[in-house]
Amino acid sequence: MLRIVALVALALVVAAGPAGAQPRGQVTVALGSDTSTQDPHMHTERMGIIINQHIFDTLLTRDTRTWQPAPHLAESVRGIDSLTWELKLRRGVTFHNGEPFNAESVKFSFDRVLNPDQKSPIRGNFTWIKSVDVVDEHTVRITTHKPYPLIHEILTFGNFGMVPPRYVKEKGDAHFARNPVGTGPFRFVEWRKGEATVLEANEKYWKGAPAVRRLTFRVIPETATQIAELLSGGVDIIRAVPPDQIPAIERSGVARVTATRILRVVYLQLDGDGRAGRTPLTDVRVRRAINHAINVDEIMAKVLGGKAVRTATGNNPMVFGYDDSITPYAYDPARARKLLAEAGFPNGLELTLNTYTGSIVAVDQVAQAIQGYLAEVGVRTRVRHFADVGQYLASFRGSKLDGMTLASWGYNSVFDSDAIYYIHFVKGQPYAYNTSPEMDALLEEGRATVDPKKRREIYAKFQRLIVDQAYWVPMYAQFTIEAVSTKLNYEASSDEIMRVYAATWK
Amino acid sequence: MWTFLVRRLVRALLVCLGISLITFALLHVVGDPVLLLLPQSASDEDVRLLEEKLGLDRPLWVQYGRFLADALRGDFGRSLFTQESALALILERMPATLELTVAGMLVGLVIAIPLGVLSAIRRGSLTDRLCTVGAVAGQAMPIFWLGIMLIIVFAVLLRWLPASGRGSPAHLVLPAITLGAYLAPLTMRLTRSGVLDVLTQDYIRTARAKGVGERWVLYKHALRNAAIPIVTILGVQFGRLLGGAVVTETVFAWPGVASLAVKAIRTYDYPVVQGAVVLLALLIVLANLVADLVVTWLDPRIRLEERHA
Repeated sequence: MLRIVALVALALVVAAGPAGAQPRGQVTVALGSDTSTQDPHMHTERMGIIINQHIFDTLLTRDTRTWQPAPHLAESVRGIDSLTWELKLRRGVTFHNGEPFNAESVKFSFDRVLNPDQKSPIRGNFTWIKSVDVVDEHTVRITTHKPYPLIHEILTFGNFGMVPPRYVKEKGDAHFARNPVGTGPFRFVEWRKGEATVLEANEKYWKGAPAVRRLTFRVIPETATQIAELLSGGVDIIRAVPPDQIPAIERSGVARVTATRILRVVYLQLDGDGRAGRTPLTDVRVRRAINHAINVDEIMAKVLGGKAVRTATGNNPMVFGYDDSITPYAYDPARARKLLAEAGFPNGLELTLNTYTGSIVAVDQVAQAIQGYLAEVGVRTRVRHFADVGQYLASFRGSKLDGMTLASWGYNSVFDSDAIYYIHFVKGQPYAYNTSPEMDALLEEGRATVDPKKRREIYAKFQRLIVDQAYWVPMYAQFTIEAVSTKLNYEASSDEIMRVYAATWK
Repeated sequence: MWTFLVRRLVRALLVCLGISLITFALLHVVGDPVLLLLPQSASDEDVRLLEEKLGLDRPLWVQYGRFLADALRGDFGRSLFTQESALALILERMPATLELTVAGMLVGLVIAIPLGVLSAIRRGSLTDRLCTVGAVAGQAMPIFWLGIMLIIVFAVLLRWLPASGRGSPAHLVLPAITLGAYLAPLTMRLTRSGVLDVLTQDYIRTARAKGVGERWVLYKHALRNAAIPIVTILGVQFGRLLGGAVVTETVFAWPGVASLAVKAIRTYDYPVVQGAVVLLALLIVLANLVADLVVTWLDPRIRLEERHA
């Protein structure tokens, strides 16, 4: 009898097999810190974005092969004229509470972020919008103040999930911040602050249910503890793995490393304008000498174990407008010394090297390597280290970073040249230490041009200019290094959003 | 008794005031939350607007005055990041921290008191020397390192206990041992010297001379008197215990006030830091007060008013 029951059960399982739609099992992801809110519009934190992406859907998403914007809740985004865009929305999508997703929800989400009283920290990314209007149940029109070529990028924004109007209005922001409701692949179950966020598969997800039934994001601040949890089977995925831990994880047999290039680029910014005071760096020969003096390829190989991609222009090779025909300055210490002598420094000179603890992998070793290379051509460096990102940014904005700065930029997840160059090279922008009327004109034009071909030409011209003038020492784009249980098919993403909803069981 | 209590409470208030002023000054001198609240690409105008909204553009003494006025009414303000009441955020985490510190203290006492008494009775013996060496080693051992070692042995290699987190009683074992091991060495040394001190007193000699059994001498006369310095020390040690909890909570991903405060400090979430620091300071003051009360109960000769005049 028992055997028959077992056989029937087996037959049922096999029958259900091919559909494969039943989510099963549980996956735990370790995050270094907790999100401060579950409301996607009210923070700018990476951890929050990662959790949001599992509960909410954005209007556009990224194609995980090309990293270009792709349809999601919006099936198309079409330019009607230079100031008007029309969004066609996906039909038949509902929020987890049963509320329908439609043009009204889209308008509500835009208006909510744009409302100054809402105090949304992402509002600044949307101020190009003049108005959002409902055309019909599944069509929305966006009118912009000026032509805005980056609309597709902004609509993929991890923070900009679509929220349910009725629910948010009825329950209020405070309730929503703790009990999120979206249209995404997982439903919210529980948030134990500082401890864990628990989600459950949304079996009615419009893209099909995820493979994992229960998904937990656990807060584990300490990297060593995260690795111990991974190796003891307590968690299944960890991020921000230090490069020196890769061999131990690969050897363990229970987990493997998945690493991929990300948007964040690392470069040496030179104060070419003398914004922080008088400096030899206003002489282009000194800036070129520094470019020739540093062996970036060796830093990538020896310090980063090859987990980096070279950039010739400071821009990330993945983003729109990167010009791959430009070659980097050759490592040539003799030429560097000659250029310095020509500039009037035959006996070398002294410069500040600003560094900070934050997003740059192995920042101390990279800084020491740079110091060493520069010393060889006679550039003595005083290192000024900021242990605190807030202080570093304040000094950066406050015209206090004299000399050279080992800086990095994450593009705010916008895969476009404008997202790095505008803020660093247009006069009056917070991080601009190198400016000229010519660069202002090019970058303003790039920002106001919608035609992709023309934009590409503008940024190619711009990159030739900044490489020729050696305003930066372009270095490399970083990798994200994650580790995952061998039970799962899962890969790290170039936009640093962990896509656990796409993970499957082995 | 009542004058004593009132005096102590006034002093506690002054301590909290001083601490809040120092924390406030330190945080405002070191950094600025506005740039951490906004995307890196925010314009200077965005920065200015947010500063205005948060009241951070006003002179420091005005900001501190406002904080103080609200704090006296039990309102520490709202978290700059979550807009939630700072006090609520802290109280939400308080049970986890109390659970950990109480468990850590129990573990510490269970290790420290018997060993302390033992090495005092057998002064100079091998046991005493081993305990001394153990205490020195224990004090030299960074709490962080011990925590990681315990995780590697009991969670990764043996798989007996969970590596981190809070939930079942099993989750409490490793963090409590870590914190207890941090507390034990000093407490053990103090217990030892306390007992030694008492054992040389006249009344012990008298008791022995009367022919009272050694065991009776120890329990009835020595331990009760030796308990006085131990209790006093425990009150003082409570601050150290909370300090140890900061590291323990971080290593074991324990969701308590200490880890909340650490994150708040990193992000300059002034209201949360202020609230957490003031509440923890209050706890320490309270622990000392309780210790003093226990001491008077143990030794009725000590009269609080005189002791603290």
